[in-house]
Amino acid sequence: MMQNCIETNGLTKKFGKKTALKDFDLTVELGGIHAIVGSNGAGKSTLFRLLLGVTTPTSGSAMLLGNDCQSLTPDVRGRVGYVNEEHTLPAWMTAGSVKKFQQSFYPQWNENIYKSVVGYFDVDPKQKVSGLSRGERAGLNLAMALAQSPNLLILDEPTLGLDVVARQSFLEAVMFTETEGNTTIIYCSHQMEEIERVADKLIIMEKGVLQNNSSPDAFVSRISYWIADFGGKMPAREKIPGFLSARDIDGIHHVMVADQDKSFGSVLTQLGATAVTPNTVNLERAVNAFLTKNHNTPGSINAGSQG
Amino acid sequence: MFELYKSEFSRYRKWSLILLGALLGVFLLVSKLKPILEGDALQNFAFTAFAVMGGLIFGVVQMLLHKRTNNWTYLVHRPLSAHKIYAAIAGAGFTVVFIAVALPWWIMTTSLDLFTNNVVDNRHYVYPLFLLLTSYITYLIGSLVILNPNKGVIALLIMLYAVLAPAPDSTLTQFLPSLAFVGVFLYLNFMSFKPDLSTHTKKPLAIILMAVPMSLGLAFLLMLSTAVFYHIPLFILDKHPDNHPVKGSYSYLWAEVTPAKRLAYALEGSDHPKAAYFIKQVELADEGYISPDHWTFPRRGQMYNKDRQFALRDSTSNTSWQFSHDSMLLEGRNVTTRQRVGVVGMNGFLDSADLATSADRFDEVPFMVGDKLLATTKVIYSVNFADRVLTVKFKPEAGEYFISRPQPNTKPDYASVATNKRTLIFDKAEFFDENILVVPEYSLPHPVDPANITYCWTFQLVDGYLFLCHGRDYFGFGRGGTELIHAKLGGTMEMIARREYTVRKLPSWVNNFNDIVSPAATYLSAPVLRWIEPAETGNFTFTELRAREFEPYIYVLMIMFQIFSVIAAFLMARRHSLNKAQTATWLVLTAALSLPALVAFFLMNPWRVEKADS
Repeated sequence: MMQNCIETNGLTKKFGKKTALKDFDLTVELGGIHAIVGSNGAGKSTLFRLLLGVTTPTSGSAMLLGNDCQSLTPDVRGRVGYVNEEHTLPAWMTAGSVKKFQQSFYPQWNENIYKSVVGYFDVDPKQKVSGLSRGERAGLNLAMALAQSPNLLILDEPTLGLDVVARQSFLEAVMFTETEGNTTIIYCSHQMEEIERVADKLIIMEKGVLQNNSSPDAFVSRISYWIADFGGKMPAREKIPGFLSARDIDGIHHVMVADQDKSFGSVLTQLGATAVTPNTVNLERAVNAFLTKNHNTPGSINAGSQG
Repeated sequence: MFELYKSEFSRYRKWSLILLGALLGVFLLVSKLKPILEGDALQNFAFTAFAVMGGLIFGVVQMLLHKRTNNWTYLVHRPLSAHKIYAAIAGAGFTVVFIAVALPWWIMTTSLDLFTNNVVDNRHYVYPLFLLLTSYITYLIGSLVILNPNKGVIALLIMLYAVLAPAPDSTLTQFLPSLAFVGVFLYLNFMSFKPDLSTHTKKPLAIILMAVPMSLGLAFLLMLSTAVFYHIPLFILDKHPDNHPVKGSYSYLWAEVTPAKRLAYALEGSDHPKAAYFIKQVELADEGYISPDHWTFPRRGQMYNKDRQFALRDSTSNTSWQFSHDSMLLEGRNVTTRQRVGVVGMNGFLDSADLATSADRFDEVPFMVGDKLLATTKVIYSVNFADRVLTVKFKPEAGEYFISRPQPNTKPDYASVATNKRTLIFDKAEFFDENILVVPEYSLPHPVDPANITYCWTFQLVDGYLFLCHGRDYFGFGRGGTELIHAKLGGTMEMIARREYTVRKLPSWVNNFNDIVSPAATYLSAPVLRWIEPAETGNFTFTELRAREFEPYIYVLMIMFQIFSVIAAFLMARRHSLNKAQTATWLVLTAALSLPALVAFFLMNPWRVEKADS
């Protein structure tokens, strides 16, 4: 019995001198919604292209539903849905004919799911795809992807550019399917509130390297947020274990660190801080701190007190 | 798959129908100006260019639109094999090309056939098929340019030469090359259409089918490269032989601008007692020229665009006489009323085609000369429309047949025609008078194989003609020469002088650069072109190619290039970690095709060898 829907081993992809993915080892179990986050250029889209077999790895391997991604059969492709951020659809066709067209490829087409999901959006079947709003197009695309009854659905920034209402509908539809169907969803997004709502697992990528693959709660529990008064200049970041970021607000430093327990307060005290206070952190702040750790900014030259 | 085909076709349906309507409109407009089935050069060029460029652009655009990253993933990530997806796309492409390029022609031809009195033969229905295949070939090349990472795919366009240039000898030679190209390019597209378009073709068969035609194109480009490293630098330095003619060479003939000087050059070294007399005579003589080289005669069922002349016209009776390949009769119609006014068969005029027996029908398609002459390879007829009489104007001797068409010349006034044995000169006025049977005034036996004669200058003297025949290969391959013959009134002939030009205008390595870089490319292309059009003697047969002799150092260069190409291909194959079958394929290709195949190797493999760890 297959346990993992995605498995990569030492997956590396280079484009000339640029390394998009480096020794990427990822295992995604069947079931649930797995969110993938990462800053631009983290290698998320490259990973999806490798998983779908439209790009060849420089080295390493990738398996999708137990099959080598470089030789995916039509049968396997039929079990994997993919929705990209542009919601690519034949713009010259009407919504109804696109649905009919898509349905023809999938014998396990679930009309109920299609109707339920597309019901969240106001899609006129007679309207040409090119005439649909971005939200309607996203809804139509998602409805079709879900109606295919895929074992695995990859959503690559599906809510990009959607307004609040459309995004809300989209998320409800995703969650509806996850509860109704037997589909594993890979959800890539920059919207942390979305991920907070839907994700069972959080995968964080940074510069082509896997940084985290755990539940969002487990990830948040790794990040701690401390307010400390150093009485002026903060010590060099290298001296602070697990340092992620720091901000100086009215002379008080707000420090975020990873993988530190409660004893971290005494570490700060030893570094000269007074009035050290631990604070809670939400997922968005935790992820942002994590992703900005190595992010190049002009301020990072003066890394002593900047995040 | 069919749904994908329908979807793809629906994307271009509107545009193809617009083009269909536009072309029908163009046909309507043209038909108001001239007979639409009259294949004049401009019309041929326009429709061929439309088919060629239209197919190419459509192939490129269609695949480019699919190739955008997200579009590509949307296209290939579905429960269909890549082959089926491409079959649907290429099928839709074929339908679009069919509607936009061929269908208007078939609609127009059928309409003319059904609703007018025009001569519409089966061959007129064949022409759209030619356009369809030609356009689909360029469509496939266009899509291959986008689908295949090979940077030299565009060189495959050279194959169009075999489709467009020759006048094919039969329906087989007309369509077999096109069908073969469609098959090969379809196969290459199927091989190239894979989820990851950045990967190069690995199958040995695909490598061969891609590399061989590419090499022919690259051989042509390499031949042109002499312009870069030889001709242009010499022109810049003002040392090029074109600017400084080389005395003693064949091409020096054209450096001598006056006929007398040219004749003097051809007579250099001659000890003929009248040499000086001829030079003096030619100073005042009229100069003409005759080409006795083979001409491709019309064949039954040839496409209408290959016709040299649409019809014979008789202005007195306001009739037009068009040859029907189906009935093998010249069919007459009143130009104004389009009423049928009879037919002309081999035995003369008949009131109706229904009265024609098989003996009346021409056994060859005649070609028209002026408004009153018809000629086959065996007979020249004249047609007297007023008296409705067809007469045999001239017939060569038994075992003799025409190899050139009648050529009228002005100053001196004569008409000439070449048979397989001799060149005949007639009085021009008599030749074109429909009531006079003609006999040749002069009969010049071919001094050498007419295929070796570029043409003969003629100089009219008081006692006959001087023929100065010449050719770049007059005395054999690369042996340019001239021959001066005096044809006297009364029929006697005297050879005055023969001269072979042993000095070369260009170095042999420049002249034979195409053979040096790839001897096999010439062997692959010329005999095939000759097979398609046998009368085109400029394309050597396999036997003629083997009979050629080069200077010894040319053979050394050929071998050096071949050895270099094989070694370089072997080293590059190792660098690219090609497997044994691929390496062997490239070694065979470079051993056979030499330098162009090596260039093809570079174009058909990644320029940068990607290593996992660097």
